[in-house]
Amino acid sequence: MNRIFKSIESAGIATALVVALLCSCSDNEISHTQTTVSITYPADAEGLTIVSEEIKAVNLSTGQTQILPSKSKIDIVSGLYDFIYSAEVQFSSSNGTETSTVKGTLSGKAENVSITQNSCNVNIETFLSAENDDFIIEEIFFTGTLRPSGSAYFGDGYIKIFNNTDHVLYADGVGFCESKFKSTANTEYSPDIRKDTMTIQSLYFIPGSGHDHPVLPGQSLLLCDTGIDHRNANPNSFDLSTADFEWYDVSQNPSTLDIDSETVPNLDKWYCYTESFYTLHNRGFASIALVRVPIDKQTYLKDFWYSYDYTVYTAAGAFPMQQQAFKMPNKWILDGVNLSVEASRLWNVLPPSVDAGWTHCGTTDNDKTRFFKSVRRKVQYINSDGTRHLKDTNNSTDDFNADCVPSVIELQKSAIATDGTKAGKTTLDGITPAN
Amino acid sequence: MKSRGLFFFAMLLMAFATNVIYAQNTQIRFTGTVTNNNGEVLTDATVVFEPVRSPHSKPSGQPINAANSIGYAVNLPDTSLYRITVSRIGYKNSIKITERGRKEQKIDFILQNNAEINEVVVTAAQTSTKHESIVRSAMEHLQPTSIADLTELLPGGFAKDPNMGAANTIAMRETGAMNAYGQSAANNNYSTSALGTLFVVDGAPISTDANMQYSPLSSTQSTTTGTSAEDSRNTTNRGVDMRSISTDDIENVEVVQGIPSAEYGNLTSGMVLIKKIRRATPVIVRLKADGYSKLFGVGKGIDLSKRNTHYNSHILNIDLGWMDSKVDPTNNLENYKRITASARYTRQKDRNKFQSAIDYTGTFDKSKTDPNLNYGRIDDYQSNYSRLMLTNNLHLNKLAGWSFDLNTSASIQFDRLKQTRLVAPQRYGIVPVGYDEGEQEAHAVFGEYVASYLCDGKPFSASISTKAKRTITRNDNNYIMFGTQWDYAKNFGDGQVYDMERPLTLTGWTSRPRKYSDIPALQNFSTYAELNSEFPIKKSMFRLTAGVRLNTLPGLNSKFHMAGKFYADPRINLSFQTEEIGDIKLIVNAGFGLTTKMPTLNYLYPDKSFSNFNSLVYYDQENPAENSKFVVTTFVQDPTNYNLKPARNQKWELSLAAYRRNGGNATIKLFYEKMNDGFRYSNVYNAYSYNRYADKLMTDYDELRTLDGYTQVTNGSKIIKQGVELTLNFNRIKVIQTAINVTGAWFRTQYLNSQPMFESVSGVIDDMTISSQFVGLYDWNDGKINQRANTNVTFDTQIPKFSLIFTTSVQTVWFISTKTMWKNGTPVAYISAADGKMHEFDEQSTKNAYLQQLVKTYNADLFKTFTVPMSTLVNLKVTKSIGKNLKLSMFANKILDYLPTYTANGRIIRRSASPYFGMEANIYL
Repeated sequence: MNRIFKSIESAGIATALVVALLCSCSDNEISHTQTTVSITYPADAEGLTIVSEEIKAVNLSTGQTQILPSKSKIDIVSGLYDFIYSAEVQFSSSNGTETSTVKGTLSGKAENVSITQNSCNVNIETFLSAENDDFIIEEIFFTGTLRPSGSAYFGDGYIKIFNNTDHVLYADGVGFCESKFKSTANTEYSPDIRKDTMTIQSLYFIPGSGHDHPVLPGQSLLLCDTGIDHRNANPNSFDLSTADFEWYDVSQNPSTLDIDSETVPNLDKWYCYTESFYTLHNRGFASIALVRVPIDKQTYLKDFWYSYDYTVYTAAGAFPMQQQAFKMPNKWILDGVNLSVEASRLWNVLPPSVDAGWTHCGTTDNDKTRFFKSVRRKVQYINSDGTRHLKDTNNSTDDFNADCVPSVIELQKSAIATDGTKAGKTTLDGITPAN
Repeated sequence: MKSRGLFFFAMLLMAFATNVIYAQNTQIRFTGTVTNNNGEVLTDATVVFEPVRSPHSKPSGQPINAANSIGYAVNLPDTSLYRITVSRIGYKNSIKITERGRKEQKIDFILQNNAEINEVVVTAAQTSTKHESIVRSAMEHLQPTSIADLTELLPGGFAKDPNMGAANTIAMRETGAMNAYGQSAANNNYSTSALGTLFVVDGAPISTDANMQYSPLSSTQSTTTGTSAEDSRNTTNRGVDMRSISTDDIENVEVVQGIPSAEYGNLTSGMVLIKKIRRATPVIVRLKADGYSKLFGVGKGIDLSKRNTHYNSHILNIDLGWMDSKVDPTNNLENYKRITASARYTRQKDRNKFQSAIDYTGTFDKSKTDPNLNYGRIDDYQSNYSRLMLTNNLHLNKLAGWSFDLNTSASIQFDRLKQTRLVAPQRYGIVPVGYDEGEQEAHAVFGEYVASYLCDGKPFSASISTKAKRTITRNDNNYIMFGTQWDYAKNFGDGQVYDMERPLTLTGWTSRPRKYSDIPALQNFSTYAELNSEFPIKKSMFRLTAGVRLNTLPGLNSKFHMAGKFYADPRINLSFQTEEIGDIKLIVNAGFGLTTKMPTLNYLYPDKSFSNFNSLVYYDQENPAENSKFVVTTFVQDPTNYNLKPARNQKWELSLAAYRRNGGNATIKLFYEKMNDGFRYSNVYNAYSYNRYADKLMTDYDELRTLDGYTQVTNGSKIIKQGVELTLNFNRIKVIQTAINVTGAWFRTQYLNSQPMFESVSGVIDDMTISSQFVGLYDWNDGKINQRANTNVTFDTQIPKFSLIFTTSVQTVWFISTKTMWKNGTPVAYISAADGKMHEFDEQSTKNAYLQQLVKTYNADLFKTFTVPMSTLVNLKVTKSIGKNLKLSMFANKILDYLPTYTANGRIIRRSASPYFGMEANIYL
């Protein structure tokens, strides 16, 4: 029963031994304290191996920074300190059936620690992050809203991408794509290229020459379906006219009409499976990934088209099928999120090297409760500048809050239900309160 | 072909004209009728006169066959006595000797049913080697809801649960279109087969040519067939919906699947000849209920003269019927109702006959979606059909040696199809509202609305047919027949009525309201000649039927290829009946015929197609409702195919039948039918250019070129039917009072396309919609080969002492298979928007990022045969008469089943059957 997701077992708490040692005091003018730093390792990290680690102590009074040579019985000058822990690690990323080893970092901080003669034990709680020096997905709002009549409204879906690093990132050339394979059907494809390739049905890129769209650490970009104020058509929707980018689909016919917002620049459309305007899979069966493609568009479009066989199983029998699609090498994927629903999920479309888990809105196929909800990445900690640091352990089950009130809805206090009930509180990640 | 057919026919006529020799000696006129116990006239009896010296001496000289349609009539020289032997399949022979001296002798024959007196026919009888006949008693025992249920009795037929939520169209000698799993699935591309089956009620054809009850949402003018409430019920271009024909007032149904007489035309597959009850009857009340429907019928045949004989009758039949059914007994949202009323007047005097009838049929289809299950969504479909038909038939016998028939009929329908839907634009929608070509502002839709659609059809049809018939020898079976038929079909309805700003859907609306009364009338004219002849060769008999029918469409606009053209259908049947070998008589029959179905009104005058392109999509962020501007460039395409030709079917048939003198017979038929030019809608692509404006002021623009498609009817469907039909009737086994009847068939039907097909691919590459620039032309077989073999073994137990009839039908489908034809997904050519021309698709094309998308690939396993193995179901039927006034019947279908589990592509398929029960009472007052 692989369908039932096995939660990752804790690898065991890396217990930090609290060495309750006495301080030894000296007679010098500058008092030194023998300090012991203990590290609390993340409980849910599996197969964690520390490749290298470093503890920095920043003396807040003098501004001096020193790298601690060891963890225990370090002789440091008494004072007010920030202790910063960072480590390069490897850990296993597993979805229960498949496992891959992933590089990552552990980081933690103990701030404003007063090192005095009486207090010389410091504990740093650490957080695991997969190695990623580029954008990650912060939020996906794929379900859409409902009109007051109860019928579905399309066009207000969005994806938020986030700079989780400590430096400026340029979004130029970052693309997003949606998987063609669905997590609820057809687990076997031939050729089976899933381990290193994603089969996609849409591919849109942020335009730019390389340095046009800087994003500061802890900031995000909002990529939306249609960048207009949707409340004109659906009072239950919200305003996307200030979004950063929209995916606009040039349409020939009134039947496939998309609206090109004047205020929101368009993404560069490389491929989409549908001639109609494109919406994210609104029952949430497809996986979403961010990519940077190192080759030019024409080469990609010519060379990455492939055919595959699969079989559809129905009550009446099994039916051989063949389809064609574009493929995306996993090595070009910056971040990926598997989406599914509990009742219908058969597999994870993206392998554990991209995402070991999956997240959701709703629990069954066509779940009516899924509307007005998104998946949002959890806040791991708050940076010193007040920005968020999000959790990225390569496992969306752990990293995301499911069934959240979308951030834009929270911000605009727009409707969260068909009857027009408005969003109340604002949160950092759907759960953690903003203040 | 046409002229050759005529020539052939003329030669035959000349050959036989020389045979017309009348002996001018003193003649005696012998006449008589052949009837059964119930006084019903037995058609197709054989009446043989043989000269005898004395009543008991052996016959000498040449036997003469004198049978006609109601008995016999012959003039013979007064030189000897004659022994008259009357025989008919299913009855015991009757022999009488003529008297000497009387100039006019009327000798009537009443034949006894073969095995048992009072035996009831509960299976389809073969009235000859050509037809299947289903008589009243068989219908009563079968307990049908509509005529559709009777097809179970034909070879290859089997019992099906009623499907009252879909049009029941006929499938003759074919498997029917199937889905990938071998289940039957409607496919409009092959509907010519059903469209080309002629239904005739008491000499009047049921015309469906002017039926255009559909909405632009339906599959009517599409290359694919949908399964919506409307699509499954829509019969436009699909012939007669058998649900609408009640069986309550039917005397018998003859199903002609072989080569039809030249008397009948405008058909491809075959015909169903319905004869209504025209005799005195008590008040008969029929009450029926089963899991799906309730039915009530009442009828009476009033004897107006009180002195009826077969030559002098004066009868009025009145029938009323009502039927209420549900598609699913547990679902109140979908139902089908039928009301029928009929008054038929029959006057017969001295073999001249006048028949008149007025018939009403009303059917009411309803389908709603449950708002509780559907986000409160409204989606209602309602289709009402009301048909009033007036028929007059006049038969004049022996006017200067000729008999004449004049049949006239006129029918008017009042059909209303209503649809109501809640339309929610997915975001914003625009609706092009112009009727003319060019740039025009489109109506913008910002919110939801309720769309209502009405299709108001008033198909009117009239038919006048004449027939003249003359015997050309002393034997009445040698005759020539000439006739004409003129059919008129016109729709006087308001057509498609709706608010253009509120169409039924916002995705892909390419239609406009259309008044059907503006569509020209369709006339079909045909004329025919047929020769029937038989030559006795000793005691064997050689029979020939040869005819030709010429069909044309008078008044058709000369732009049509068909205008002014005559299409000739030569038809020939040869049969040889051996003398008795032991007690068995063999009949070998071979036939060939061409049958032609002319297109319907919709095929000739399809709805115009409107191509719309977005020239300006300006969405005003501030005040979208007031200041946005949407402009479309509209192109109007008239999809009329002036090169359309009729659908023509070649039919070949070979049969062998064996009849035992005292009952029992066996028939095996081989058939092959090929139609290369069946009707279907096909994709057509054109290149268009239009301006795309950059801003609201519409000053800056790019000129864009794009492809767009519409559908046009073509002769692109090919249907090849072949197979074997088997019928075995064994004599009743006295001890167990049971007769065994076996029918079975193997059908192999190929549903193919006969022309290459355009097919677009979806997808947008580099902001370019591929189908707007390139569409491939694929020269492939987009079809299937389906097969089915089945047998029905019916044990018919009749116990006259208890007035009990009990039948057990073991119905086995030995296998069903379907195979998708292999497809080469590489196009042979493609049309390009840039120049609107066709280009060869070559090696270089496969290397182009855009063109390579046109290559469709298929999983090789897709083309493997899918086979559903055998399944057996057992159905029981009981009829019991209680006293004189009550007959009770009951059926239990699928009471036993054998449905073995099978594997398909590695998966285990389990099957199940749920029994279906029903009962009825017939009360005679």
